[in-house]
Amino acid sequence: MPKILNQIKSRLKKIYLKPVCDDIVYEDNWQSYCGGSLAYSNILVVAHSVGSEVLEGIGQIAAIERFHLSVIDSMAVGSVHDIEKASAELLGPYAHIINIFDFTGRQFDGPEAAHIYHIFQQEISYLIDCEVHGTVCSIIRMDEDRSVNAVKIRGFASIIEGLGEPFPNHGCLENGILSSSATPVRTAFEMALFLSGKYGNILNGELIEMK
Amino acid sequence: MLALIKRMAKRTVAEPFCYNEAVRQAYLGYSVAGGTLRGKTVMITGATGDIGHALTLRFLKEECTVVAAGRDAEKLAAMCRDIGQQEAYRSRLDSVLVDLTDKAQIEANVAELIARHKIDILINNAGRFTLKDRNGIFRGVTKAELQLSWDTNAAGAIELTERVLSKTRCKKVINISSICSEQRKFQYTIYGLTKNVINEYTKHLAAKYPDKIFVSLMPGSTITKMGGYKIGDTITNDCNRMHRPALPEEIAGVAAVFSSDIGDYLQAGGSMVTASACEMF
Repeated sequence: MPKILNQIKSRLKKIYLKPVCDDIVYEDNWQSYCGGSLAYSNILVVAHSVGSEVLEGIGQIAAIERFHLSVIDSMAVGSVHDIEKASAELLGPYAHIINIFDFTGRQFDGPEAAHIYHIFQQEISYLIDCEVHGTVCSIIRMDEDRSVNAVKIRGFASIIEGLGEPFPNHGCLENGILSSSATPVRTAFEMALFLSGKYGNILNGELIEMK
Repeated sequence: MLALIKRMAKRTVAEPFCYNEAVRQAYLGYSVAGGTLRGKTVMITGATGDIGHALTLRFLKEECTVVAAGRDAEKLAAMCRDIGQQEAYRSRLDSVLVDLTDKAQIEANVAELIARHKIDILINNAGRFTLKDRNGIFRGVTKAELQLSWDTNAAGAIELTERVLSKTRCKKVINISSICSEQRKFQYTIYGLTKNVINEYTKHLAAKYPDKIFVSLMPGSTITKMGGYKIGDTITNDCNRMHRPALPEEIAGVAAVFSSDIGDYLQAGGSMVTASACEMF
């Protein structure tokens, strides 16, 4: 009987949600793409098939935007524990995760789709476990052609729009970018910073298509 | 009785949140465009509205020259006086009287404006959203009402854009549309269908001028007088996944980033972007 009563009580218990609104006045940063709203936050970049020169460029952006950057390879994300391990030396958990999935010149099929799906599952589990009301922004790069491969990637990219619905149930926001090699990774990353910062919150569930 | 039980059983309750001057200022941080808008000239129609005002402040903050366009001379002058109190903005703010329902005025005033300024970015923000639109009225709409909204929201915006594009170096046009153009509940209202015209026009422009950038930005519910809100209101609302409507300053921020150097890489064919945090109705 007590179990049933507890069940009923938990179902009737109110859950209070705070509207997502960042009323902090951040320091002006004329080079920023997020109004300086990512300054001093912990950001994890999960990279799939991304070159070292790109990662170097991202490091430069981190210095401009003044956030703490960690980078791990997507193959290293086996579980939530792997993300926690990556944040071991930081003060506090990651507040923002930016995925860069580069499929230019690469095959995309079931295994790749399953891999990315798994990464999203671990990332949201991490943010829920850490009770972080953070953001997940994903850059998906593909060849801009009419191949079946491009069709598969484009179709799969709709997951970014879809995840805008369940992620906020856990206080997290989600969006992303679809682009080809015509858009430099640096430019896509700068857009990802806008999407991850407070000004991009309203673009939750949005997939921005770039060249 | 059923409604009462449903209300009591509702598990999630959003905490009250007030939209005030402090929140407004917090969403006018600099920069959201990497500083790349500095020195550009931006023309904003419907500048005296809430989103228009936010757009004006945002682009001034991004160190642009802003030409604020509106149909009400008094409101326009008051807005420019108010914003012009900040010395940094005074020299970079100009205004032009434009009634989008008056073709002759568009022709005359835009010609005069183009002689004074080289427009880099045009933001078509002017729009008419009536109580009948908000309440989804269909049979009660008169021909005169339809004509007025049609001229303001669609025909006038097209007329002005054609002139600006043909006579200036303008390379980016951001059309402020609405998710009403995509939601069945509002698609048949004059507002919804005129915004759909704007969406189609965006695609048309992208095909006609493949070297320029065109965006149809579709906000959802936004804190504006048009939407029935004012400063000081509690804005907590389960309309979307953020549990509150968009702030005009947020819409302005999105318009700014698409106007920046990042915007040069937006897809060809015109971009349709929804800024509503998954609002569905």
